[in-house]
Amino acid sequence: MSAIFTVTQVNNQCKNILNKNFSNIWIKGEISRPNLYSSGHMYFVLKDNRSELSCVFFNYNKNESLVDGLELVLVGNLTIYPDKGKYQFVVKDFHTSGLGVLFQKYNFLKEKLNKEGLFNSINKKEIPKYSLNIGVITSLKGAVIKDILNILNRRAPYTNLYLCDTPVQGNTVSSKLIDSLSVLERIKNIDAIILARGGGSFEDLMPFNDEGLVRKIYSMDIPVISAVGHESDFTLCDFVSDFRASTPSEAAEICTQDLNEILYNIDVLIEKINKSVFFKLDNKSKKLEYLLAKLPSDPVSLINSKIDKINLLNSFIVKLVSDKLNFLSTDLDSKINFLNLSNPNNLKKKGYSIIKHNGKILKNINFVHEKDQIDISLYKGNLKAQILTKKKVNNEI
Amino acid sequence: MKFEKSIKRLEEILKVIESSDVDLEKMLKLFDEANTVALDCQSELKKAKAKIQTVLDKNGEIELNQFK
Repeated sequence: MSAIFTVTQVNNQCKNILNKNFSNIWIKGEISRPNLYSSGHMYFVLKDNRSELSCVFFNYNKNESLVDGLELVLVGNLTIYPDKGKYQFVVKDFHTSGLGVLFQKYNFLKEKLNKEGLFNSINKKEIPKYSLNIGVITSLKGAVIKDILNILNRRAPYTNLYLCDTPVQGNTVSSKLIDSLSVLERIKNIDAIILARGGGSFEDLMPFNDEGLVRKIYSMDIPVISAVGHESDFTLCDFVSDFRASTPSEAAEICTQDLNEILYNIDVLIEKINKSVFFKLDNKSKKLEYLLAKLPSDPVSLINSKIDKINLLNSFIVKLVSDKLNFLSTDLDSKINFLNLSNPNNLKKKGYSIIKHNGKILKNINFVHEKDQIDISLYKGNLKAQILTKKKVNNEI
Repeated sequence: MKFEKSIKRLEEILKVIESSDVDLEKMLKLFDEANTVALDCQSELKKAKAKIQTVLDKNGEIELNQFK
């Protein structure tokens, strides 16, 4: 089931929709039943040959007296008075119908330039937040320049200003504005240009709808801030500029940063940097302390005890090797002795001799006969002998 | 816009110092740089005095005069 609205909700929501879609619109029609109340508000109806629209001009301050049948072009917002649910047009300004031609020209040019992309937000340059050099194009006789100077003096005393005294009323305004833009373009290091004028009628502001001026602003490399007329007035300069300020003061504010804010921002950044560095140093210091704590309290004695251990191991190894060498040496000596004892020449030296028969060593008398020839090898020299007799001996060798 | 660059530099330094992998030597160098940049910028801003001049195009030559 859909939500059920209250009357107030419906009226408020409708008001929001109207405010969003029908603000600063222009309506042409014929005036009917004008009525100026003691409160100072002017109520009337605007109509054409088929419809009517209730209108109110709060605090009516125009010189023109409104009479039935007068053709008007109104500027304002369509809204709902929520208490009564009454739909009405709140008039901000109006022009007599003679302006219709001017207004048509304005609309025609606006559409043409819009189609060409001159008002496209993609083409808009960024307004520098910290302008050090600002060009201002306005009349130096009006209140506008005072507003700008006041704001900049209070807010950004570090900013240099280049003032182009330019008339903002009269027939030659648009060409003078173009000239001033060209002059400022030639000064180096200009960060932003403010094009400003106080409020005025639609006709007064017409020079700011000049095609040549709009194209000049579009071609500028320096960002241009438009602060022309009241907030409700929209000139083509406003559409083509890189930023549309509702007042000259706002224009001065948008391209500068308050000196105290800058100093504060620097303080904040430095404080953050300092905190971050101290935090990191503290961390590293704690890590170092932790590592130091893991080291022994007396590293020299630790090293000495390790050296002692190494020396002990060293002497043990030396002893092992030495014992092994001694053992091997003794073994070698006994083997050499054994070899020496087994050497037949050493035996011969002691008087033993070797007897061979037919080239073979004779160890048993059974292998020779009487009269056999035998060879006797002595330590020094050899003998050839003959067996005379054989005699068995019991204790055989 | 010198101090705009200074502020951007301070923001960059803060970002680097806050990152976890910055080594001690680099961090201390950046710390010194940040404090120098901030001091220079602050003293420059405090002593800055704006010039307000009118601009005139005199036969193609730009003429600047002190605004009164």
